[in-house]
Amino acid sequence: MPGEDSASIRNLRPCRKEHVGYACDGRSSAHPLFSGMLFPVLALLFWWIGSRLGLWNAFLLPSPEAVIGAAWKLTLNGQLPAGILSSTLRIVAGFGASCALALPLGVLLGLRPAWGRLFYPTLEFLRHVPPLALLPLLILWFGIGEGSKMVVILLATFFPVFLNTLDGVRRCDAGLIEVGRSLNLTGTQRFRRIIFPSALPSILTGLRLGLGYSWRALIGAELIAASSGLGYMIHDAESLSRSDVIVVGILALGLIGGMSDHLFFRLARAAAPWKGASVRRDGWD
Amino acid sequence: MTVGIRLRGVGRTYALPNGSIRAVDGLSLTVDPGAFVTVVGRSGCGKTTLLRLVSGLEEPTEGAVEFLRDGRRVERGDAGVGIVFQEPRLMPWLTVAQNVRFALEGRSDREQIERKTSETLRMLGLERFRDAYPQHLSGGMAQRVALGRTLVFDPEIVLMDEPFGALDYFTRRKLRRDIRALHAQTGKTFVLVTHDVDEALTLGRTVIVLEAGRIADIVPVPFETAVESDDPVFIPLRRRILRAITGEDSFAPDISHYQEAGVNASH
Ligand SMILES: Nc1ncnc2c1ncn2[C@@H]1O[C@H](COP(=O)(O)OP(=O)(O)O)[C@@H](O)[C@H]1O
Ligand SMILES: [Mg+2]
Repeated sequence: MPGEDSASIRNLRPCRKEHVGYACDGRSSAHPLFSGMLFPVLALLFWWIGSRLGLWNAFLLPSPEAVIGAAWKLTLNGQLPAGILSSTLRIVAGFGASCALALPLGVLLGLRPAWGRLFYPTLEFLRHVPPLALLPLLILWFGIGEGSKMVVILLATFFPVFLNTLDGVRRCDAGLIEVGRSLNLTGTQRFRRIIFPSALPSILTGLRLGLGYSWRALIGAELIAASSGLGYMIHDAESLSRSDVIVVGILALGLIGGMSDHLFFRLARAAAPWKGASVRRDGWD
Repeated sequence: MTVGIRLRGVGRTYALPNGSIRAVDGLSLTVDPGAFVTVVGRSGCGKTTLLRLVSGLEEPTEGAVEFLRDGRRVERGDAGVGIVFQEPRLMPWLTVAQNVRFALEGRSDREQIERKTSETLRMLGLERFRDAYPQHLSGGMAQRVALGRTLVFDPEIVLMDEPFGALDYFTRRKLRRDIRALHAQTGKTFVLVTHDVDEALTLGRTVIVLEAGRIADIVPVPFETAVESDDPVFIPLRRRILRAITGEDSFAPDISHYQEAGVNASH
């Protein structure tokens, strides 16, 4: 997986002549979901049999039936849907705000590298501070309400989006831009027709990474201080010693994260069909 | 009407950390409308710089590049100058057809764009590949697409910078013929730059020999039908070009370095 380090601030590369990574890989015929279900099914089986045989204390790991029962109850009383909804809304707001900042800034500094000098020391400093380490301060400033959650998500997702956008724009082949000049395209046209499409796969990779990071950061924040959301539900269950509810929360997180990532992958592939395969570089569509 | 080119004392100096380099050194020359001129010279003699100056990608540090239609000066924009680079430089996210019509997009109506694109694809034998992406093209095909992208907007002047440089012998030979046919068919002004003497001779009706940014010789090639570089008519011309560049006669090779290396030249 190309982390945000695929484009570290210090390691800005000059425009390269060659484009890499446009080769498409052949897809295997069997749907990967089937073979991919092997381990979950085995784990489920092991979990179920182990619980049945009493191999472990049911308090440490409740049985599948207990978890399903808890999930059902939480759905009926509205706690689970409400938690999912409020977490999702925070992601939408926080990630949206992050993109609104990171995309234009990445494009701007990609096009005008000289202006980068103004920002890089600050950004480099911020990049190395884990957002959750800032949470105590953020709570002081913004309270435990929505403000601090948004800022945590923003801090966690800004860099993958910003750096991948920056990298995509900067890596645009200078030769292609010159083709635009030789065809008398204006600066705006060169951006719209050459630089942006060339940077799009990288931008989409950044967005996808950012989306993944936003869930992790948000749940961390909700575990520490919140009054709603999936993280809060887990935290609350912990203080009530409800391990079944904790497991429900974890399962919900994994499923939602996977689903939102998949949804994003679909969107990305529709937006950049010429190299959809490499938008998802870990390749388990 | 076709447009010609006139260079008046055109020079281009690049500033380097330790001094400067005169890539093109006060060139004056006229390319007639509809001519096929090749420029030949060794690497670094200023061929690419010369083409970039004509195409407007680079500004001369002295002198002027002018374009003439019926003896009257016209602006570069009105003349229509297209350039094909050494590398195809295709947009990897666009199909062959989309790459070819890249220059037309937004400049004429859909129907006309579609017509011109199809026409160009047919002319270059690319119809079968119209929906392929550049990554799936061979080098020769990619270079054809690049040529199509330039021809599609009907420039009066077509500049080509070693367009066959990266291609194999057979593809080069085929493309050479195609480009000659294209020139005959369109009647446009072609300027092709190459380091390959045979290529310069088989393509150009006039060969400009460039050495260290200056014109070393201008060699007319008065053979309409000769296309194979091993045609005997080329022998004296090839020798003349070689002499202009290296100052030596090909039949009296400089053997001093063999002797220095201890090889006896009398063998
Ligand atoms: N942008 C540039 N900056 C500095 N020197 C350059 C630049 N472009 C070309 N040169 C120099 O000018 C000379 C001619 O280059 P070029 O026109 O590319 O030669 P050719 O195409 O015949 O190989 C070379 O010595 C090259 O190093
Ligand atoms: Mg060159």
